[in-house]
Amino acid sequence: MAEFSTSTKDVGEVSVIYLQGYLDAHTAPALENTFSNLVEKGKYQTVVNFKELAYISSAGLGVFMAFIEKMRENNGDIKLSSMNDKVFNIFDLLGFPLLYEIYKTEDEAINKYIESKNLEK
Amino acid sequence: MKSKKSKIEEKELVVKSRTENLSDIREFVSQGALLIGLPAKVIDNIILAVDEACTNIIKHAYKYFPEGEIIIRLKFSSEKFTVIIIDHGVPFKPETIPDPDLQRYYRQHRVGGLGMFLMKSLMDEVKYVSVPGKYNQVLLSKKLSATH
Amino acid sequence: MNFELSRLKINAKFQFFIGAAIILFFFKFFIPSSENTVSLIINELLVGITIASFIFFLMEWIHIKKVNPLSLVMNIGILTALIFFFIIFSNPLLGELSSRTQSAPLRFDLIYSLVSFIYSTIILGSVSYIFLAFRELYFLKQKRNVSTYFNTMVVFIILSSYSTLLQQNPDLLYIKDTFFIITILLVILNSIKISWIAFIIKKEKKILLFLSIIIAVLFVLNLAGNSDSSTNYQILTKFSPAFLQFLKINMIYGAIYFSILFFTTLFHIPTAEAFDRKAQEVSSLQYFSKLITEVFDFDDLVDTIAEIASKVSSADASWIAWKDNDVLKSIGNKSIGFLDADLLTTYAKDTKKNIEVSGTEFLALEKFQKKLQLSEPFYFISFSPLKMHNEAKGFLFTARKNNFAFDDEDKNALDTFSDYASVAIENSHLFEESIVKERLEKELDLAREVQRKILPAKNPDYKDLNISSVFIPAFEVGGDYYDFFEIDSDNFGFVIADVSGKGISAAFIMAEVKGIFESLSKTIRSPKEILVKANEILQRTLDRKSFVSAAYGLIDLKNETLKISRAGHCPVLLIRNNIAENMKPSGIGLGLNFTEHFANTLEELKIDLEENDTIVLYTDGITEAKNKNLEDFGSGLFEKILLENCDRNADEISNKVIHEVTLFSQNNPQHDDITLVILKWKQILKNDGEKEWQNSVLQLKT
Repeated sequence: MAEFSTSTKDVGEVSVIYLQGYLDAHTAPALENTFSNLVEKGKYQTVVNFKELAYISSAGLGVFMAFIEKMRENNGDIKLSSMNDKVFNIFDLLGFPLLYEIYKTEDEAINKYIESKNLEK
Repeated sequence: MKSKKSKIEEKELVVKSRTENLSDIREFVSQGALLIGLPAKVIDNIILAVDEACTNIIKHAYKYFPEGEIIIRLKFSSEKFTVIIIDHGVPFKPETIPDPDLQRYYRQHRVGGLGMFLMKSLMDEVKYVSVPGKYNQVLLSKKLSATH
Repeated sequence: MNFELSRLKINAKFQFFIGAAIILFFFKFFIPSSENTVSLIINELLVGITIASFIFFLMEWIHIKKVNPLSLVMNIGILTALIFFFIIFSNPLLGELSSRTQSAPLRFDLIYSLVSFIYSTIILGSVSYIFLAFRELYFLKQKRNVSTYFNTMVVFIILSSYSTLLQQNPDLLYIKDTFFIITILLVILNSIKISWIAFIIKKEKKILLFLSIIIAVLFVLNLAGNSDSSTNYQILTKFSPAFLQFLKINMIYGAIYFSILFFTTLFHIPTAEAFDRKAQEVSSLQYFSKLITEVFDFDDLVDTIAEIASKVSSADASWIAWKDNDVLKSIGNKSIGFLDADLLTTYAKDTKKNIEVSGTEFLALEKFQKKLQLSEPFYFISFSPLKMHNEAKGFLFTARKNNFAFDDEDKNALDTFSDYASVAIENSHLFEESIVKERLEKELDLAREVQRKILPAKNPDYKDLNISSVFIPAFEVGGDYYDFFEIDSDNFGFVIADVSGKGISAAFIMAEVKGIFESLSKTIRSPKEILVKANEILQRTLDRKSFVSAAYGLIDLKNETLKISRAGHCPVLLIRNNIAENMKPSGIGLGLNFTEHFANTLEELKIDLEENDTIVLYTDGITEAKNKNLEDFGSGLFEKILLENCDRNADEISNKVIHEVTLFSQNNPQHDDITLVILKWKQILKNDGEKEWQNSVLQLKT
């Protein structure tokens, strides 16, 4: 039973991570791996799509905490998108919206990267 | 005979202290909570709180020792839904864990205390008792009347 | 600094002692065994000074070290044993030396003198210390000033010692004996009261019992060792007969003191535990009484109470069963799980029916059927009511795992302690309440402030329309709202509304409602449409529990018409020709129905205005104002007053109404906001002298 899985897709320079299933202490290492792989490849601009994520516990939230600084130090970010209410409420409860950019759609999040890149030029 | 007034029912699950069992634990709590017809949102909160408690036990009480026992006992009464989680690992003091300061965690690369905070936020009551050398118990409860 | 100073003092005393000892030494060697009285006296004086200076030095030293009674006893024991061995071995060793002295006088005499001097000095030191230790023990934990008894004894010991100088004269021997007997009597007297024994713990007492019997025996043996034939006797007689006497008295003192100590300790042992616990209790209670004033957090307090309860009653586990909606739930669990605690609480509740009234009760768990369900074997439990206002709000439980049942001592301790605990809990509750109250007041202040800002600061001024408005807020902000909209030169809109609920939440909805009406009134001219639109907007913001009753009116000043619609609000009154007419176009309250039904049922009333028309808008705060018999002011009385005063201007009418309402409700507190808006159309003045229009805002405060 695959209770959790991730897949990634590159949109230009941005890597989109799709989460699916239940993210808890047991499955969090899988997400950690995904992030580690991206860091290894030097891909720091990430968008996490929560659309298919049914459940998240603090162990899962911890993964984002663990990687956010690494990404930002390298001119990247972890932007979150497409959360259902249930998952968003947990993020909200912990005050994550202060630390993370959360968007309604994946495209919005990706566009933010593009916008900021244009600004730099 | 004594408890005619408030019918109390109990359910129990015993699992090994492994993260792979978290999904079983969630399923067990979910089934139990459904029995007394709690709203879905409340059930979600209870499941998350129990998950956090058990994750804490696996990580901190048993320190990832896979053969430890976690006993999850559900109690239903007309007033509240109570979950008592028992382990035989190292006691820890939940009161000493401060509420998380995300900004600080961010700076210190630290992750922790989120679970405890979630438990406190999601449940009406979070209590902990340790009988050193014997067992530890975490009690989580949700009042039934106050849920809307 | 102080320490240094006392050190110096000791040094001075020590030097004095050394000096005295050296002088004594030289005296002994250069004036050996003289028989004449003068040298004897000098000898005794020198010995006396040496002993005294040594004792004074030791005294200082002991005070700095702050010794405890047991170590004093220990030291006495060691020194007595030392003396004991000296006496034993002096016979074969020194006896030998002594007999050789006779055969080879000169050389051995010197060695013999030296050895016997050292021997005597060691004994002297030991006895001095023993004597001082007796003194310390005597003064330990004495409540009254008893130094007279001891000092008298010291004087007689000295007298008795020096009276040995008289023993060459057999006629005066009775003096020596008399002094000796008096000294012994004083020794006995001073040995009887041993106060410090009560202050040591049981374990120490057991050691003491053992030590005291051995030491007593040693003292008796040492006393016997001083028989006239022993070498020890011979050496010491030669050294100083007075010192020998002093030694003897000390040995007697020791024998008596330690025998008495032995028996006192023996009798004290059974009560020792009680004392231990009392001490524990006292310190716990002291600690706790401090807590009462310091801990206000209920959870912290409960934990502390449970912890101390365990100590006070020597229990293994404790918890508080606290009444929460008439169900006892365990809190503050100490060394016991929630499940065990619940099982035991239920058992106690089921076994003791009138658990509420009595003090601490005990229960053995022999007959407890669910005993096997407990995760640990408990044998006895105790429970004490925690009373607040004479009602048991909870119970303090303790449980024991061992086979010792609780006794009366435990009951007393727990009774006292649970009383303290009750007070502490009550305090913490009061504290919490006051915090809640303060927060509520802050909230209310905020709500009043919001309301004050929402309501119009002044009434609009029109030539044909005289407007008066009165608003009296209830203590807890009620949610009344009224407003005027000066739309353009020809159109005047007004609204009156009552938001369900009270306090800050009502105030915020009010603010929202104001925003809605302000913007709608600018664009829409139909009261019905405005209310329909308002209902739609409120659908997004109102939660399911709240609703708003409102009436919206529009006066066309040019065409002299009034259009009015009502969403569940009190009727609008029209006073015309001395008749009060309730204008009641139908309509459902805002926020109750979001279907088409709302618009379908909402009517709009249109009337042509006539001179002297009085339009009265009000909220139910007026008609439902209550007197002390809880009767309503009622719409009948309200209309009557309006009719009686309909010739007056708007302010006068509202003044009159408020006056009557105030009279009616007297001291009965106002439960809801009171809002009264009176619009007077083209009033014809009967009294020419009167000022034409009055548009002052009434500031009524009750």
